[in-house]
Amino acid sequence: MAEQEKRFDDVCAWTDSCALAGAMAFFAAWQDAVVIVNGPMWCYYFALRCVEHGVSDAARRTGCTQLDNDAIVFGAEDYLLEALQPYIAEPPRLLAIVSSCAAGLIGDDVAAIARSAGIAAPVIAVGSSGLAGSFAAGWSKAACAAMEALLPEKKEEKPHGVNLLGMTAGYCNGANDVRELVRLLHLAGYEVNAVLGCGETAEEVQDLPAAALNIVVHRELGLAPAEMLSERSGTPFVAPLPPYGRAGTRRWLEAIACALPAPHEKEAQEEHSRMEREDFLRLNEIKSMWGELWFDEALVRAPSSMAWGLAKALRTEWADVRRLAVAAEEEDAADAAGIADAVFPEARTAELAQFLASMKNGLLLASSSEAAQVAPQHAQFLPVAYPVLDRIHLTDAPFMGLRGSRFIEEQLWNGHILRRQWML
Amino acid sequence: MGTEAKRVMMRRMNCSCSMPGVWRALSFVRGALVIFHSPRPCAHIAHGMDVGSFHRLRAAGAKVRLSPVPLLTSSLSDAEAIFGGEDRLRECIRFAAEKYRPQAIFIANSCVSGVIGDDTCAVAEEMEQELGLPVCAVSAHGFLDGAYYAGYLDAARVLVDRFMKPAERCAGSVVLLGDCGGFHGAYVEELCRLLGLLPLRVAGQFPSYLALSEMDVVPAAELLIVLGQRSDEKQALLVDLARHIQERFGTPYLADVYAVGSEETKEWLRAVGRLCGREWEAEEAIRAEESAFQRAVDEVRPTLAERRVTFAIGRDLDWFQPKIIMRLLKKAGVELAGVVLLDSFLPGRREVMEEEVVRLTDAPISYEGSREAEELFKTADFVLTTHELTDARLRQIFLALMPSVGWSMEKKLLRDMVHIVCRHESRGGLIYG
Repeated sequence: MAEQEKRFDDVCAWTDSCALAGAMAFFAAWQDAVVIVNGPMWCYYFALRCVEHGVSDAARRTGCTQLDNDAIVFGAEDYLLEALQPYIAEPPRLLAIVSSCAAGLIGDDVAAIARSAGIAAPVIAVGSSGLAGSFAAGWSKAACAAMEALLPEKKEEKPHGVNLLGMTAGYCNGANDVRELVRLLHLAGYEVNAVLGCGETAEEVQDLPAAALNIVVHRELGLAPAEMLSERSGTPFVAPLPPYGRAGTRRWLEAIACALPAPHEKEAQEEHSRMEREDFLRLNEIKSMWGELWFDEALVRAPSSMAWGLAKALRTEWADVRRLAVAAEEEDAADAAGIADAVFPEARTAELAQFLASMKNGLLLASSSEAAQVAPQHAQFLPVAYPVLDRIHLTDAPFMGLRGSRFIEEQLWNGHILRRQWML
Repeated sequence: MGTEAKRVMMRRMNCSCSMPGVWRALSFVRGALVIFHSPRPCAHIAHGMDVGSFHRLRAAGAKVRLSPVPLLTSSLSDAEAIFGGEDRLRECIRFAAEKYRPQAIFIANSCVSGVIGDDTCAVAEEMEQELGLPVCAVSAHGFLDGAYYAGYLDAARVLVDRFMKPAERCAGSVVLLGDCGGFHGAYVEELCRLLGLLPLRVAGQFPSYLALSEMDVVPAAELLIVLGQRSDEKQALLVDLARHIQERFGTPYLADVYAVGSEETKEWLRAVGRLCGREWEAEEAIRAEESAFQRAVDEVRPTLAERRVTFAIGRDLDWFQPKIIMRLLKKAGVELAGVVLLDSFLPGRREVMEEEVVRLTDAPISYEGSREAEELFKTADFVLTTHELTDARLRQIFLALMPSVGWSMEKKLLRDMVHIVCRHESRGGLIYG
C-alpha cells in the first residue's frame, strides 16, 4: 500500500509543473534564445504560464507547433516547419525545441527536421514530457542538453572563478536570489563566472569551464549539470543546502571556502557579523513589546532544496515552532535531522490536508495552493513557491542570503504583529 | 514600439485538453473519484485551475472552500509508454477503491494513453466486475479528440446514463446545466437571483455540483436551464446533452436564449416564465430590473456623456459579441472614437469580426500596429479592450472572458467606465472589467 500511495495517491494538492515547463524555463531565461514547444497548445500555454512567473516576456521568445490529432497520426514535420518559419530569415542565437509527451512518443527526428528547415543557429532538441518527470527533471535535462551542444573544451581557469548551477527564475523569487548570491560571492572576493539558466545569453555556457569551482544551489536542478561539468571539464563542485537564514548563509559560504578559499573571507565575515548584531538588537526591541515569535504548527512546502533550507532556517533561527512539517521529498539525512517533525512527500496529500486542517496558530511557508486550504485567521502565510495568487512581491528582496534572511524575518514579525492586532 | 496586445498566437482551433474538462465535470461530485490515466504532472494543471478559481471567487467575496473529490493519477512513465499502461491502471483502480471506498470511479484518458493505445474502456469494464462498483472510462484522450469540452460533456453523459433515474416532477424547481464559472460564481449567483424573482428555486447545477446521491434532482426539475452565452458549435453539444436528458426523463429544457446582456435577459426571463407558467411574474421582474438599470445609467451619464472611447477587439466573434458593448456605450452617451482590430485572430476570423463591426457602427476601423490605430489609442479618453495592451500609459478597461448574466455586466461596466475616467490621465493602467 505504501508503495502504491507513493505512486498513485491523491494529487489534488499537487503543485509541481511538468518537465516541459522546466525545460522551457531553462531556455526562456536566455534573451537571445527562442523556444519552440513541440506539442499541443494546451501544454504550451500552461508551461508558458509557469515560465512567465519569472520571465515576464517569455511569450515573445517562445512558440508552439500546436499539434493536433493529425500530427500524431501522420507526424509533426509540417507543424514544426510552420512554427520554425519565422526564424529562417532571422535566426536567434540558439533555437531550442522541447517536446511534449505525445510529440515524444511519435518519434519524429525533431533535430533533423529543424536542420532541414535551414535555420542558421544551433538547434537543441529535448524530449521533456511529463513522462520524464516534473519541473526539475525537465530543467536539468535541458541544462545538460545545452551543455552537450554548446560546451567548449576546457578554458583557461580563473583562479577565483565560480559558477552557480541550478538557479531559475521559475522558482518563486529565483531571480532576486541570484542577485543576492552573486553579491555575497563578490563580497567574499569570488568572480562569478556564470549562473547557468539565469544568465542573459546562451553565450554563458561557453564560460562555464573557466570556473575553478561549481556551486550547486538547488540540487534537484543543478546536480546533473555539475556532474557533467566535473566529468567534461574536471571542475569540482559543492552542493551545500541553499543559504537561507543568517547562520545558513554563513554555513554556505564556509562550505564554498572549504573547496575554494575566499580571497576576501575576512570582509565577508565582518559584513555578516555587522548585520547579525544590528538585527539582534532590532529584533530584541520588537520582542520586548510583542513577545516571542511562536507557531503551534508550521508547514514548509516548496521545491525540495528550498523547502529543507527554509525549514532549517525557520526552526534554528527565525521562530519557535511546536510542530514543523515539510512537504517535499526527503533531503539528505544530515540536512533533515532534527528539523522536521513530519515529512509529506508529494503523494501523501491526505496527511498534508489533515495537518493543514489542524492549524490554529500556524505558519505557511508555501504556495497559494496550501493557503487555499487554511482559513487566513488560522495561519500566517508567506508565499515561497508558485502558484502565488494572493500576494504580490514587487521589490528585489530575495529569500536567500543575508538580505533574504532579513526580508523573511521582517515578513514573519510584521505578520505576527498584525495577527495580534486582529485578535483584539 | 507601437501599442500591442499581450497574447499567445494561435494557428489552429484545437487548443485544450479533455482531462481538465472531465475534472471540471466531476471535481465536486461527492462519491466520485477521478483517475487521470496520465503522467502525474498532468494533474497540476487541473489542480492549478481549481486553485485559481478558488482565489478568484474569494477575491469576488464568495465564501468557498477548496474541497474537491480525490484525484489520482496512474502515473504513466517511460516504461508504460513502451510496454503499455493497462496493468498500471488496474493497480491504480484497485488502490483507489481500497483506500477511498468511492461510490464510483471515473477514468480520464491522457494523450499518452491514446498514443500508446491502452484500452481503458475494457479495463474499466473488467475492474467494475472485479470490484463491484461503477468504473467508467471517459472516451476522449487528452487533446487528441475533442479537447476540454468533449471531456466535460462525456463525463456529464456518463453521469446521466449511469446515475440518474426517473423521478417525480418537483414544481418550482429548476436545474442549471453547464458551468459558467461554477455554482459560487457571479454568473450563477445572479441567475439564481433572477430566477428567485419568478419565483423559482434552483435545485442544483449539473454536472459538477451535485453528489452522486443527488442526481435525481435533474430528472425531477420543472425546467433544465442551459447555461451559456450564445448558440454556437460548442454550445450545441451542451444542448444535445439537455435533449438527451429530456429524451430519457422528460425534463423540459431552455436553450434557445441566454441571459447575457440586458435585451437578451428580458427574452430569457419571458421564456422561463412561459415554460414554467409564470408569465406575469416574468414581466414584473423585467420591469423592476429595467428600472433599476435605468437609474444606474442616469447616475453615470453626466460623468460619461461625450467621453471618447477606442474599442480594441482581438477575440473571436464566437466568443465575444461587440453589440452588447456598443449598445451600452450609446445608452451612456459615450462616443465611440474607433475600433482597433488586434492581431490575435485565427486566419480569416478578423474579417468576420470586421464585418460584424461594420454592421454595428460607422466609427473608423483600423488594425493593430497601424498609425491610425496608434492615433485612436492616443486620442481616446480610455480604451475598452479584449486583450491587455502593453502600453502602460493607456487607460484601459479589460473586457473579461467570463460571460455576465442579466444586467450585471452592463452595470459593472458603467461603474468601471466612471472609475477609469476619474483616474488621472497620467496614471494610465488597466482595470479588469
